[in-house]
Amino acid sequence: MTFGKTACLLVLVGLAQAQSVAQNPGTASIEGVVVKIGTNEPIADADLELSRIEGTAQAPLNPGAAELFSTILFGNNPPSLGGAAPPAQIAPEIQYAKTGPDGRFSFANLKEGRYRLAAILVGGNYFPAEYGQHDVRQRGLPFPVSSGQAVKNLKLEMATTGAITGQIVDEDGQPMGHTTVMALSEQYQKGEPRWYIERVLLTDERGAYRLFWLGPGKYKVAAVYENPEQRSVNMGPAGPPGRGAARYRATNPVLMRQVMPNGAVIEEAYGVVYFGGVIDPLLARSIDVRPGETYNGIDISLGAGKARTHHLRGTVISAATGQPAPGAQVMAIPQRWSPNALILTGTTNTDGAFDLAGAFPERYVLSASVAVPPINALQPGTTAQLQQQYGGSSQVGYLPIEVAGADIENIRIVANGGVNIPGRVVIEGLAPSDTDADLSRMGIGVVRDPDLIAMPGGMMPLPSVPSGTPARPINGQVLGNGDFYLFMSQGDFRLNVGGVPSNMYVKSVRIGGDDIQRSGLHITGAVQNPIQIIIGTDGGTISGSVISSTSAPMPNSVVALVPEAFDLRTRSDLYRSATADALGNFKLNAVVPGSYKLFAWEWAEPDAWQNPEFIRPIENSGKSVTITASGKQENIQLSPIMLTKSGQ
Amino acid sequence: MKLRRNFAILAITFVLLAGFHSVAQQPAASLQGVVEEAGSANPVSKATVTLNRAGATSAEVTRTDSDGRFYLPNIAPGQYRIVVSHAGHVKAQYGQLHPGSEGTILVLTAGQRVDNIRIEMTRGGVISGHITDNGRPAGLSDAVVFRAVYTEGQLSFDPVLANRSDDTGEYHLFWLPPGRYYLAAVIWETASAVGWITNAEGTDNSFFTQRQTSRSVFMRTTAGGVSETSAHIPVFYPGSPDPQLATVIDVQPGAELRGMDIEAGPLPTRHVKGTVVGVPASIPGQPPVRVNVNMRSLMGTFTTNAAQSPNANTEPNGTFEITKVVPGRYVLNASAGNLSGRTVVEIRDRDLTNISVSLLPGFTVSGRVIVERTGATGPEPAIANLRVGLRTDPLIPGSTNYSGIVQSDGSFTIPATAPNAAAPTAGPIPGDYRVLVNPILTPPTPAGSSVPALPPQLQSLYVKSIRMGDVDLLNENLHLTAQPSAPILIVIGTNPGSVRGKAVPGSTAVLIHDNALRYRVNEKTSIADATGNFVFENVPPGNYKAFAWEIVERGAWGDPSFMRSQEERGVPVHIDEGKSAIIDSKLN
Repeated sequence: MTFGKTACLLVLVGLAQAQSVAQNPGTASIEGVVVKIGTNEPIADADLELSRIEGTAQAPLNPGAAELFSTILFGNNPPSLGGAAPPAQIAPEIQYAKTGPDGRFSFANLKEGRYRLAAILVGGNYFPAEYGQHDVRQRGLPFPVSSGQAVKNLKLEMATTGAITGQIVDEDGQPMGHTTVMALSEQYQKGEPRWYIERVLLTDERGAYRLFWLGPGKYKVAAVYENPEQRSVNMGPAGPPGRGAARYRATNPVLMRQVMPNGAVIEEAYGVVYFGGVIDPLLARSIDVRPGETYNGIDISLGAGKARTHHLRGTVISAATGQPAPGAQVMAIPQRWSPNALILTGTTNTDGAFDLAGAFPERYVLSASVAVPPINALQPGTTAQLQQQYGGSSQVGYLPIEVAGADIENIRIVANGGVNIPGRVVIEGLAPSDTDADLSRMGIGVVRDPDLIAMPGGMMPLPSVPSGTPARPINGQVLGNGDFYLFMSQGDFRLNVGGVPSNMYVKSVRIGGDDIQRSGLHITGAVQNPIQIIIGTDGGTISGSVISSTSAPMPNSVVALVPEAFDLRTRSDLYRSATADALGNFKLNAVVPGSYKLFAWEWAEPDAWQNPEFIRPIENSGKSVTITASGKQENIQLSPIMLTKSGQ
Repeated sequence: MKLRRNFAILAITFVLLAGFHSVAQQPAASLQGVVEEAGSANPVSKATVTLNRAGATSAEVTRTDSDGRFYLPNIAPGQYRIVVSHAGHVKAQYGQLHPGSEGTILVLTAGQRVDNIRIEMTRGGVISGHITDNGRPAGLSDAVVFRAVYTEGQLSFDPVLANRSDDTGEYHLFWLPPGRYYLAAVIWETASAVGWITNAEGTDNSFFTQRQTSRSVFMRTTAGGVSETSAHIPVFYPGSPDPQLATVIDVQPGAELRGMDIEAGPLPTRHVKGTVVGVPASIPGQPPVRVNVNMRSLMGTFTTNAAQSPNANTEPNGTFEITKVVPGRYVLNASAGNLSGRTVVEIRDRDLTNISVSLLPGFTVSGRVIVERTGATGPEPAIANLRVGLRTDPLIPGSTNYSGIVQSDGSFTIPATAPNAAAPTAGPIPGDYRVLVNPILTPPTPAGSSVPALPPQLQSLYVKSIRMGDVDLLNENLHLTAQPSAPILIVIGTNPGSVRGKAVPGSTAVLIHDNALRYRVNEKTSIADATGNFVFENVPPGNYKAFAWEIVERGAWGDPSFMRSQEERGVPVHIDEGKSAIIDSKLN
């Protein structure tokens, strides 16, 4: 089966030929054909969307279009366009066409610029395709069109979608209707493989399901028991693959309680069960869905996930008062990551006590959020005074806990207000100023470590200030003089610096003598020393091109720079990556001085190279590169590493 | 003397404490029983049994074992209801007469052992089939079942359950409570990223409303390939977008209705062109006035496509063109400030041109509300803030409801002019209207669902008469053709009667108007208690018929065709002011 590579080369050859075709100066045109992947079978009635995503000095983009394109096409959380017409800023830059019975399409009267071309077929029997893909899951390659150019014979290949079918049964083999089934696809997060939800649906009355319109690729299948009394189920994400932010669900386990004739109580619940009969997503079997294929008999027995559950009981204490906190929101979040986290939720009663049912024997993090009590006769003072006293408008407490074979009693969660941490960002080699534009574009963020679904964020809402007091800067905002303030909860975090110019890098992050970049940020109370962040300006550059074994340029290939030393491979800030342009050229900026290995692939999942398991088998294919301070490595030639691809 | 009184209080306190103490020490009751399938006596295992104590928020929960048996050996004495749920069966209650009806209360005394509880569960039904789009499978489309609802005698639909089709177009709607349903298929123009499934008890239709309002694209492109000349709209089983041609589907317990296929391909759309007459001249220096023209369907279906409720703005010369309308009957509304106009249009197999709508300023209708106090005692009821409304009759979707607030002297003016409004409010234009007095004389609540409770001070008020000159506007419409010269006089009665009677315990008793108000206001309903007694309070004087049904679908008495078959079962009742009527014969 030829898939991807051949098609892409054909397309690019077509484009190269087309570029030589002369036309009258003025408007450009594009024509081409849409076919079923690996064949010359034309696809009729396909919709083509041609977007001019970059303009030129002679033909600039519509105002606001560039920003909106970057959000929609490359943002982590693209806005839902709701099936309506595109927003006004980009509407003039988008054109549509439909293929005829011969699969052919054409666009005329085009302005010069860089274009992106995508094909879809309403209904979902074909996976959407973009021009310049090596893999159907990959983004396409924007291509330049010059004034008067007539681009001919562009070819887009669309893959048919696949399906997975099966049945969900209980421990007695009885069909389970109205049970959630999910297709999970793999994505890397900081090098860790995680399986995110691609499709969600419910089984029918026979316990049968059919996950359909699946793009080619590997999938795992998971089943989650739903309360049959609750027939309105939020099915969650089912958007286009590889386009959204992390896609996961958090639901409550459905508790099954049985009182025995002697009065004893047995409580059980079903955990998430994956195809292969396991409860660990990493151990689940995956199904490699090839274009147009249906995989039947992917049955799951939920019995594998059925377990006795236990109660977590205790009290939430407000650190500000030392007293139990009524009305606190309490959650128990499993520490083992799952795309469908089964979270226990509850609220403390008037005595500040909670009782969470449904805990499996595993590790949890308990979190408690307490709102500052409303002002009443017992709480003299203004809102601002109260919030100063309580440390903000809310208090957060958390506590890791391990559930074994029994209920846990007398848990005490202390909820603390925010901790104030000052800090300063310094750009190396730059004279101090109060209004540095680079600094004032930066922002400091914190992410809980581990970053569990549904955990309260690290930053806390800022307390109101008494009237007449100047307002403090936004949490994490870096001022023109480099100063920033964090007002955050206690706990373990990773700190990241946003908005660093592309020619600079984060050289060090320290509190006193502690290297936060290496050890993480651990807040257990008041912080004495400020956070000191140094931005390096002596990063090196690496440039070159990706060429095939026959010395042909490999546009849209992925290039990744991996630290050479194994102990540095956990430092995600040291990695660099880029996509080769239409001529196969790439450039990596702000490379932290040191030794690296350089890899190229036609396509790889983003950040896959941060996973040691991914790199290990190809370790020797990497090209060693050393970068000194402000050093340059140019004209490096890379050949793409062949990976086993879906559908081949 | 003073000392004695204190002693007495102290003694009472002691008694009370002793009483509480003994309650806490009462021996627990114990409960056991079995859950079986109705008709077969097969045990239902793994059913959730919930014991709700009257007035308590928490409940005791257990499950049935493999023999369908459940045990609750330690129950505090009290009054309880037992609810049983199970995947595949309709939720059941202890003591209910039929699926969906109210159960009975179980009283458990101290130390009591009840071991013969038996609860029957009815199997839910299945409707499945394929949805096609011009013969091709329609994936990710919706199959929806509706309960029929009659509002003012008109059929409308209340979604009960919805589910998506797969890529082969196959859909499954399952665990449906037995009943009579309508089925429709909806093919969305763009596939949705959101998916919900409704509650088979019909209490939560967020899925369906979500899908109707938010249609996130599945495609990476924004094109979606939506046709300019055709539109998908709901198609009712067996295959018509017209709900009047829909077939009722009778779902029996455990029924498996397979092969319920629906072809739901698109309808060609048409253009509607015309002119709005009487568009006000634009203010010099300001852009020309553009009047919004919108169309609202009179087909009685539900809206899933903009081509069912399209709109457009007029050009500066008053002409308009609506480019995408599915065939059907519509009311076309135009409005600008206090000017409005409407006309009814029907679109068939060609475009409509030369539609003309005239903008009119509307009339002013005023009147007075008088409270009749004959025979009544107590303080003068507060009528201020009652709202007198004029509503088009028959109801025209999307049309304005004109109203005026009753002042403390009883006067009102329609339209009400807000004190600081920039522009005058639009008044009623020529047409037929019902005069309503909110909240004591209102149209029936849709879906036969629960009637909102009146505030206590208004509960004994009723509209006794509405007249304009010699014309009775309570039982007939206000026929507006010109600016009326006479005021509307509304008399509020304060001396309602009541009706008592007997029926089979648990029956639904309904008191139905035997005059022109039938189907036009909410009917009074009551559930016969364990001894079969029912009562209707605060009944306005007049002529009624009383009915009682052991098994009846909620709101069925709003369906004229149903009532025609039941008419002879009704017992005529006449209510006089302040009198209590008793129905001698048992109603069913």
